[in-house]
Amino acid sequence: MLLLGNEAIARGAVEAGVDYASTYPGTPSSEIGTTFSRIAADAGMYFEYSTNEKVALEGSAGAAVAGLRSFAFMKHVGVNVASDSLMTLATVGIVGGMVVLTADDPGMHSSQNEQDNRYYALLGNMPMMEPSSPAEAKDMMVRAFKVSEDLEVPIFFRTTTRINHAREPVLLGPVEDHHTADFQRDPGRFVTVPSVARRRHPWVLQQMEKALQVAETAEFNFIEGEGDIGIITSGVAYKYVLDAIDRMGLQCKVLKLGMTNPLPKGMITEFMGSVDKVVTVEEGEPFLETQVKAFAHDAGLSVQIFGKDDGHFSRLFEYNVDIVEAGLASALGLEYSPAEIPALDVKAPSRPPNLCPGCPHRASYYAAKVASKGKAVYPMDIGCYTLGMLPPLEAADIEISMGSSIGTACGMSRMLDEPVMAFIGDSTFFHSGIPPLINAIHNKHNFVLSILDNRTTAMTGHQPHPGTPMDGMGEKAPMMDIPTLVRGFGIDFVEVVNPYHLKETIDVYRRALQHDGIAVVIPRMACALLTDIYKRKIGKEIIPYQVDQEKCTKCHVCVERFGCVALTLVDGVVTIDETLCDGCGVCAQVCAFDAIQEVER
Amino acid sequence: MKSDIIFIGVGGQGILTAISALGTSANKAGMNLIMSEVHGMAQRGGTVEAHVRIGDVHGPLIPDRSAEAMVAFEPSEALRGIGKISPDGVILVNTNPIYPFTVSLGQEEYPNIERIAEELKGICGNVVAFDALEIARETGNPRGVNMVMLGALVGTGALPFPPETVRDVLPERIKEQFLEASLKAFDAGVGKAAEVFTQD
Repeated sequence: MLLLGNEAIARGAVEAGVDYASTYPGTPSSEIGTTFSRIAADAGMYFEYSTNEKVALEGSAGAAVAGLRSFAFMKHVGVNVASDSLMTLATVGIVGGMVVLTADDPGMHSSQNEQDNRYYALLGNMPMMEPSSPAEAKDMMVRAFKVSEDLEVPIFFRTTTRINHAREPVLLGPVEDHHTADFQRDPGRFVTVPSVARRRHPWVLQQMEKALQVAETAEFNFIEGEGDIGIITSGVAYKYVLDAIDRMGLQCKVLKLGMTNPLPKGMITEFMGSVDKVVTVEEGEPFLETQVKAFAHDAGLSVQIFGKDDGHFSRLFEYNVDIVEAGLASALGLEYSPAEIPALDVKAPSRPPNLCPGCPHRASYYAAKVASKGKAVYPMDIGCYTLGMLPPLEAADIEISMGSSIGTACGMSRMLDEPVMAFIGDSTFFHSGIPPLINAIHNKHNFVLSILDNRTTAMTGHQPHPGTPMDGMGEKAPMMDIPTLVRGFGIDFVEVVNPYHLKETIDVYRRALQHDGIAVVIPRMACALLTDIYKRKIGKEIIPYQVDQEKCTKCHVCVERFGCVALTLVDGVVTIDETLCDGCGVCAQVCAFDAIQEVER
Repeated sequence: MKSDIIFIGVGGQGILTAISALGTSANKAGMNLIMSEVHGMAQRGGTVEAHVRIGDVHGPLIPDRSAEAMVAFEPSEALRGIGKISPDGVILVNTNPIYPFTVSLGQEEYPNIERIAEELKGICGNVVAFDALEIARETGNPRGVNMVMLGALVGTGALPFPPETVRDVLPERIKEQFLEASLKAFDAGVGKAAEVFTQD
């Protein structure tokens, strides 16, 4: 069956009889969740979208200590959120099998940094597996649950974008039965007061010794080929190595590592002893390279080891066949001429992402900028609404992590003279906006917080969140009301406004800026993409807008200040692309000359 | 023996549906294959690039200048994909432009379509440029550009497995209400490429 990497991963968990799965959506891991959401009820398992990755991890831990098989998965930076619990859970261990998946994003296709999460496995003493393709990921998932159960520790499962978002034929295996929850009280193990913690650290080191035996014999660690040159590789880089050696006609031996913590020291040492030169090929940081050099040192081997430290390979971005060929040639002193990319006389215009036509966030940003005359500082948060940073809105000054808009607003509003207007999405607010908001109230900070409520987790593909009436199983859920929640914190300026009503929204922001203390503005309007789907479903036509050229004074405020992508400016004339226009009508309110009107039907 | 095909275009043009049909048919034909979808940040309007690799290949990404075919759903996007196409490959390009907002807002210029076609011909001898939207409209299916392009790819005879396999999988990849129109668009695409690649 042709499966997306993320579907293959979900399938692997199902084949292992997974009982409990949890996540917070994050690219490139998101489709694992959408797959579970679709199949969980039929597969007889429980799946939830948790409020954040830490909660997702803890939920899965709770199931696994009760003897069930559980699966917590997240994008790489999500592991940072979960890490507080993960690092201690690793020493406590679990009873049923538990897999914790990190989806790393080399090249940062949709991420704020490029951290190599393999170091978490070292930091936490967790056995780690790293698949090189969707098909292998499926098989490895099944094995990971067994190893986890045997060793009583969670397995860290590291994927990258090119595994999660690749598609290939996958052979399906049998599906194991589910397990019965049976929690055996054991506070001497699971309650980590210092006296317990002191016993857990030696225990986990002992488990890692056992894990080493698994690594030495695991079917995912293997050697292919013959020759005096040895390549040590893991993850998708292994596939690029195979393509590269085919193309170069390189005679070599390849040690492919699928279990990469603990590394099979004996196997690697023997491999290095059998060749004249070793090249390590891995995306990201020199994780294998540093360790295999230590192994060579311990064994007194004089073999040359090439990789990133000597500059043959980069620590940056995603690899591909060309990069691996160039790196191998450079390390081995071979001739290499890269494929020549033709220079072009005509240039493709750039096509960067932007807020969609009809996106309610564009209206909110426009209103906030008008009310503050563009003279505030604008801390921003993580989601598709981050695109508010683009011109002409330019509504973002700092954004570092989920929830950071409110945290940074605390420091900035305390120390700066300018007003501070922070923006956070609804799902992000539930994820990690609440503690910093409570901090802001307690410490009497002074800023305007917009909670952009578009009724969904839009960026990752419209997953539910605690403010929506549905959960990950597709069942009805209590809908958490954001204004009630923040009023409960004691904030007295809380206003909900429809951002499509521009004048009213600007007015709310003006009053919010006058307010002393924390003012919360909640622009509430469903994501335009969701509204479109709904309109199609009920057969409601989207009526686009058009420009009345007689009334248009060519002031270009609509294009230069508002900048909806459905507006088109050619030779000084503004028109509206009917196929793109979503009919929200906000541009008509931006126009001071009443020159934009609904198309008459 | 391998067949690397790069698909490039704009979000919303149906590229992912087209490659899913292609991949399913290659799989049914018993071919080794791997494909990779490059997702952008925007749900709508951004560049979409997908690599389909069939035959004796390993990794999910096509090496530079080695694709046997490029299927460009949009003319300026064809320019963005040229690093992948082999000098001996074939480029199928839809000449109907979709202006990015950088152009519509007057920040950048969109190149002349004929100049694009000339430029492509300078890079790779086999360029088939045609208005796929027009063909799709003629079959009564203006949203069928993806099926026209997929049909055109099949019509080149460049696929290393029986071309009818692709048409045969469409009923399982496409919703019933759109199937007839999709098949029409697909056949029109096959015909368009066959005009150029007849029995050589």
